[in-house]
Amino acid sequence: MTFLNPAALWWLFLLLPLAALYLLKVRPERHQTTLLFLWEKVFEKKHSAAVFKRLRNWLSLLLLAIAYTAVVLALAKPCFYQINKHRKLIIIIDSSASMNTLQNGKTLFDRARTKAAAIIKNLLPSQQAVLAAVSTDLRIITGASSNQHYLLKALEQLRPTECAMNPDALSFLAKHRDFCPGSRAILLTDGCFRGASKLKAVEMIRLGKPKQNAGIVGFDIIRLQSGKNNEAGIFISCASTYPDNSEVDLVLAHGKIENIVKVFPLKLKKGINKPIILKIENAAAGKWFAILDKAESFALDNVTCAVLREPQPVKTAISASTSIYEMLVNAYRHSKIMELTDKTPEIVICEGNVPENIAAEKYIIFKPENNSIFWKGAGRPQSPQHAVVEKPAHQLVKFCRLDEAKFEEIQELTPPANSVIVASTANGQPLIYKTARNGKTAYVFNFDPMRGDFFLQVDFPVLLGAAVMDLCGKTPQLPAVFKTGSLLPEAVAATFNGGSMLLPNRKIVKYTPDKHLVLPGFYTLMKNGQRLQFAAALLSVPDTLPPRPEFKSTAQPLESGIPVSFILLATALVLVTLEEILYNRRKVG
Amino acid sequence: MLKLTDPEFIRKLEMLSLLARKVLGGTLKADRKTAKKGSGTTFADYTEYNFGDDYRSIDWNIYARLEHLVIKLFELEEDLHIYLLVDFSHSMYGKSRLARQLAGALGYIALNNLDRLTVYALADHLKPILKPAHGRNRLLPMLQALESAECFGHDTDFEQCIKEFQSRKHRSGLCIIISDFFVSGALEKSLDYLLWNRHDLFCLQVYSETDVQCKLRGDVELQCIETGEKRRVTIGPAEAARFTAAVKTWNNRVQQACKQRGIGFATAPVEVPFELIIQNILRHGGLVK
Repeated sequence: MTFLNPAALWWLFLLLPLAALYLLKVRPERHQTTLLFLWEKVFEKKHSAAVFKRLRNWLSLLLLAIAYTAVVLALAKPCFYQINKHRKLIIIIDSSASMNTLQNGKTLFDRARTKAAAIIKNLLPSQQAVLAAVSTDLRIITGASSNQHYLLKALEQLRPTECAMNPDALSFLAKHRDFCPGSRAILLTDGCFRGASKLKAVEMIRLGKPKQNAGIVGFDIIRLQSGKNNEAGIFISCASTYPDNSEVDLVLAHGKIENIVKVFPLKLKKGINKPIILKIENAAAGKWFAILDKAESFALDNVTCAVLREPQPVKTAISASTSIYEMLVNAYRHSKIMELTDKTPEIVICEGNVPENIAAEKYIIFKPENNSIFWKGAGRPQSPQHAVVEKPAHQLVKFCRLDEAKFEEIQELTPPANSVIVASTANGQPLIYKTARNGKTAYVFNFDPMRGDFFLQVDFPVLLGAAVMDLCGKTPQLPAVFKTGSLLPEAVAATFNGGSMLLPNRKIVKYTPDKHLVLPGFYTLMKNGQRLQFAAALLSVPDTLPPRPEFKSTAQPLESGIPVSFILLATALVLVTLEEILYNRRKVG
Repeated sequence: MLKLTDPEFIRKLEMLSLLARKVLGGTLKADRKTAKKGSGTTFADYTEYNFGDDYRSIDWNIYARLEHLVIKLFELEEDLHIYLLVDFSHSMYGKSRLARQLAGALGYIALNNLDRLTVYALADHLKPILKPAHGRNRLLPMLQALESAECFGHDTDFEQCIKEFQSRKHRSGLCIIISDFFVSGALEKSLDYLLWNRHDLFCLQVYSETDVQCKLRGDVELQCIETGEKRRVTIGPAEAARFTAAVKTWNNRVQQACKQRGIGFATAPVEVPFELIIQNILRHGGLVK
């Protein structure tokens, strides 16, 4: 045992003068009496207690001495293990959805908060702590501080999220410890996330015990183009920890959670179950719910939602000498991605330059010529060249293999300064870029697809389709439901950036691309008359399937619980009270 | 504090003396009737003549009628001896003032009635305060002697004092004992001794409220005011109640001892003025048989 404030032990030297003062204080008052012989008779029956009476003052003194010693020891802050008192603590509280699990009437998050409060209360005066919360990302709640009141107040305001835990956030912490060198990172968690074993730099304190749970971990609904009457395909994946095949009803509802469309009796097996794939006729577009009808301590994963969208084909006009573009648009018409139109097109596919006779705000321009608002100086053709993809993850090219194709009729031109070069040639000429000028947006393909037989390759329709969807903000990969905590795809984010977003809790906030979908339920994005409805749900296997019992705490010994100093002070208080009773008995009788 | 020689105090004594004269109904001469027969002027009884009797006492008229010699007996009139035995031990601290006042008042009445008065102080031994005195001219010396008397001794040895008192071959008379009667010796034995010596006895118990009720609590060191003996005790409500009961028992014992022996007994709380106590004694009797 060591003392963190050994200077306080000097106060023990006051014990002797205090004892002397005490003995003077308890010296009995002298009273003269004429009736001592009668007092003798009164007390002659109580000789048995005489020894205790004689020792009572000394017993009281002993109690007070112990109480005083306890107070001094409390001030000296005893410590029962070796500790670097200058080491900072980063207290991270898992605020993911699984921490909402109820155990013995309290959520795991409440337990984590209680534990964190105990750790904070045991901080040494010189010791600093950082309070952080992690779910989809790591949030630093407070800076390094030794002010316990400030830390506890911040802790009190922490709330759990309904998002899954993102272990990458902790990995970031493990990799970037420089912002708090020499610190200890303590994660208070239920362990419902993957990759815990890899977080060597983070000490984990496990809270709660694994409980049986079942939930929906995957849900999707899409409109099928089968030609049947409004047929929709549904995909549901469930997971369970119940050891036996437990029977449960899976309910599908539309519009509102009360509007039940279908009920499936399920037999859940332990682990991730085989997905349910089914088709429903006359499935109306809009909000859909999948509900696992089972009362559990963790109920967030029992209800999930999704949006069934009606495809909205992009109205496309063509201004080109060849019919290949018209053939492609017609090919996309069946999947309701594009359709040809002559009036008010959303997008124009053209060759050479921006057509003057068709008004639109979005253009796809092949084989640029002369000058345009989207380039300058086209007119010096280059030799055929291979493409160098500048942004392989870009929506436009991530499903294409452009580096194998050879492009012809490449013009030497200069794109506007704000252009995004997706692909270029080896000598630096822009091959494919996205640009915007005067409120108009365009994809410029600086080559002739009809030359070199590029139009015959499979990449050409993919490229054209991706360009149309990207320009119109109608990404084909927009899922029926997003996982809580995720961000919207770039194309959607760009389209609705600065617009407003109606949250599941009916609040309207300004939308920015960095807004995470933290609440489960239905969202609506609105901007310039455009509306996009989408859903978010937990759909997290680690949250539904709690960790195995083998998952152990990895935290080194840490002062928590009731502080030793507090126990010592409480002991002192009890002893003083006891002595006070004895003293009162002696002085008042 | 009223001194015994203050005019006001003496005026009070005068009033008490008048009251005593009225109550007791005596004359100013020492004319207290005693049981003895003697040569007074008041006829008392007849008795048979015996050889040696005074011829002058033979009632010849009776002899003429009955031819039997009888002699007349007359009541003997003599002065009364009053002995004031006042407790002057240290235990009377706080109570000796009243004891002096009571003794002064009774002494005043006695001297005013031309009785013979002797005052003794009691403690661990007997100490004379006033030698046998007679007549009103001894009033002031008596009061001065009581005023100047100091508490003395290391204990109240009642038995020893009575023995010393009787060893002085006193004539039998009225013994008035003024004390708190918190004595360690055998009280009953002493009273019996006085009675055996044909004294009339009257006990006047002086006490204060602190003697009866214990208001001490907690750890205290009790020191005997007479012997200086100390004892550390813890007094709680139970102990205080036991002490009060012990005092009550003790006082009952003293009262019972007097009652059994036909001895007059009165109590004198220090909180009550002395004249009221004397008036009460005179009105309710018991002082003079």
